[in-house]
Amino acid sequence: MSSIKSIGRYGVYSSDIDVNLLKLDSKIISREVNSIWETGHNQKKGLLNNVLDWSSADLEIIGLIDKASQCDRAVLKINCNWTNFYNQIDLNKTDNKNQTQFNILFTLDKSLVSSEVTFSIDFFNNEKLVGESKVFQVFVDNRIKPEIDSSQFKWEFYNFEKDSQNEIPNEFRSLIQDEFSTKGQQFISFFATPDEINNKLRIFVNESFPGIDENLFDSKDKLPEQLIHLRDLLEMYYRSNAYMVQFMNTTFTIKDLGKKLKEQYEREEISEQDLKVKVYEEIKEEFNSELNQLSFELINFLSLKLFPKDKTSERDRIYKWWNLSQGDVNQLIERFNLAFQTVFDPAKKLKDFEKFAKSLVDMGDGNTGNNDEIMEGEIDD
Amino acid sequence: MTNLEILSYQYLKRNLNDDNFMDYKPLQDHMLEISDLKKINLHREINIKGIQKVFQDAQKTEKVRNFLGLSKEDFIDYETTFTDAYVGLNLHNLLRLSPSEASRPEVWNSIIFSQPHALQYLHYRKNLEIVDESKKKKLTINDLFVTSTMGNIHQTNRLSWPWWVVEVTRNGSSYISALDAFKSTTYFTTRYIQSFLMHQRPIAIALAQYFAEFDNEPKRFNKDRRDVLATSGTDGLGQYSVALKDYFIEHRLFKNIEIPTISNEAFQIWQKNSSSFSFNSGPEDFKVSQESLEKVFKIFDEIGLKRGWLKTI
Repeated sequence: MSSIKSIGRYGVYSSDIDVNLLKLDSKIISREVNSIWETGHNQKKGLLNNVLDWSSADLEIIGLIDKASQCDRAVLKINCNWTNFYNQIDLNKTDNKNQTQFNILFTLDKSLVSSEVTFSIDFFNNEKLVGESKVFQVFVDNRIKPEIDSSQFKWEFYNFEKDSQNEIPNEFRSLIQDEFSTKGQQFISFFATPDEINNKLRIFVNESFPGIDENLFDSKDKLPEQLIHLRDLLEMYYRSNAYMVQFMNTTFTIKDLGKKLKEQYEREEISEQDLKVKVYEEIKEEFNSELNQLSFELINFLSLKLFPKDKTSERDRIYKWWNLSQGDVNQLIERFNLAFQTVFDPAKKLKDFEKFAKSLVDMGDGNTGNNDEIMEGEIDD
Repeated sequence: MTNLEILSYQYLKRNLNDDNFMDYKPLQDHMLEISDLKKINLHREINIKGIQKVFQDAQKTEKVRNFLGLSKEDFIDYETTFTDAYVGLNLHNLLRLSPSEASRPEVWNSIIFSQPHALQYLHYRKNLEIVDESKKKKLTINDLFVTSTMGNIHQTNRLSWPWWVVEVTRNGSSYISALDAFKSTTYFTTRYIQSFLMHQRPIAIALAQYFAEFDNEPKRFNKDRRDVLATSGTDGLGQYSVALKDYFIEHRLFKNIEIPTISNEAFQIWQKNSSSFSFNSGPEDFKVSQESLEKVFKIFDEIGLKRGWLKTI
């Protein structure tokens, strides 16, 4: 829980709200579910949308406000616009050192809500408002798609080897260990495409591969200088593959859409303009649907990378993507290859790349110079 | 078939248009699989036995009037709103939807596009106020198809919207306050109903009663009174619920008004029972006492007094 600040303008004290997930359907949550919930916790978001098959969630709501506020009452407000749901509950006061703390347990029934449920607390002193918390959002289904954040991918580290402590998840084990590699050391990575629980493509890094472990990718750990470039290139390799997987999966989905419209166009029942409008709408509908794990925002983002000159027309870009998927897939792949390099331009993403390149040129010219400077890798997507 | 089969929203959206929707016949391929139904919280079986009769009877004036217990005089000028009340009350009691289920466009589209009587009713309802046969209008896809927007589900579609009016304004098992909401006509059922303040059960129920019963005179006959909680917009029309919002923003809470916690357990027991409508046959999942409602009335009076309204009585 973040620390609270002191008194703000108009005599209203800054305060805080925290919501913890304790149980689902009266059972204490697993580490996996807790891990999903915690994903958005720092942003005041509770992600129950990524947890299937639950009917009720036991939540602990905590409110904090500076003692100087002399707060004597805290009221929790719970609201869901999609179902016109509202509840309002007084929290119980439990003082601690410098802050006044309130808490309460609340059971959220899934049948009463949908999409986003908001939790906020108003703090009072003698009926006068002295603080108001931020809003904590709990997402109970996928009506609202996750935002595109700084990373398109989720990194996970496993041993692909059999019988190891941190073995790769069950659903992929047989494929990797039995069909492709009995010892599990051969591959450096594996990709798990988005599903009901994981809305990002997951990059599984194989820690059984000699020399690879999680610390290699932890920027806090200082690596020997000579290994940094290798590490960064390796990371780029992972991401390059991941982007290609994501791009191909998306293209397969797009390719399958608009079939009837294409037939109508070929029978000259609709114009190309109509085709463009309707295909765009169909693709948008598909990716806006909560049954599809990818968001339309992501599709639009990728389309901009594929067709960088069409900055103004989202519809044109999406239509071009669909149109090429129907026939000229080669051009799409070529475009994607270039698009990827605009995102992962080594000259921009690898610090001091130019110096490194210059050193290579100088070496060719017989001028060795000083190439000892650290070329720190800072790659993100 | 007694259970509603849920049609794919995307299939309907992509394939139905003004030229073909009247001839549409649902096929198995168009239904959502259980895995998809779970994702959208629609995996409970929804019993629709008797729904055809609801739509048939809704087109018979006498049936509607008798059901609501209204005199001819009370009924005649407000036939449309009372027809909406009939449909809303019956669908609420028959379908026994949870709010989560009722928020899904898939539910309403599945009823509309799998029940020919629903189409007939919606055509009847569209033309209810048009006397001249030659001016009656055909249905369009936009009259029927429920889009995935909150406004369409809560406020526009002529099946889902009356359901939501009933849900928001019923007092636990009692549907009497829901009928009051319809008596207050569309300024209440489509305009006030949009306000987030209506999420608070005591406010929604009290408003419905307040407008319908104030001074024992139906509110609908008195425009000045109905505007008690409105402010005048730049277009001269009442901006309903603005005064209430102002009050709420100032006070943060409706003082001393207890917001009931809804018992999902009681609601589920009601869901499992078979439907048999009476005005006291809703779920016993909460109850706002008349004492609490009186406190809300006082708040309305207080706001009205500040706005000079009581001077006109």
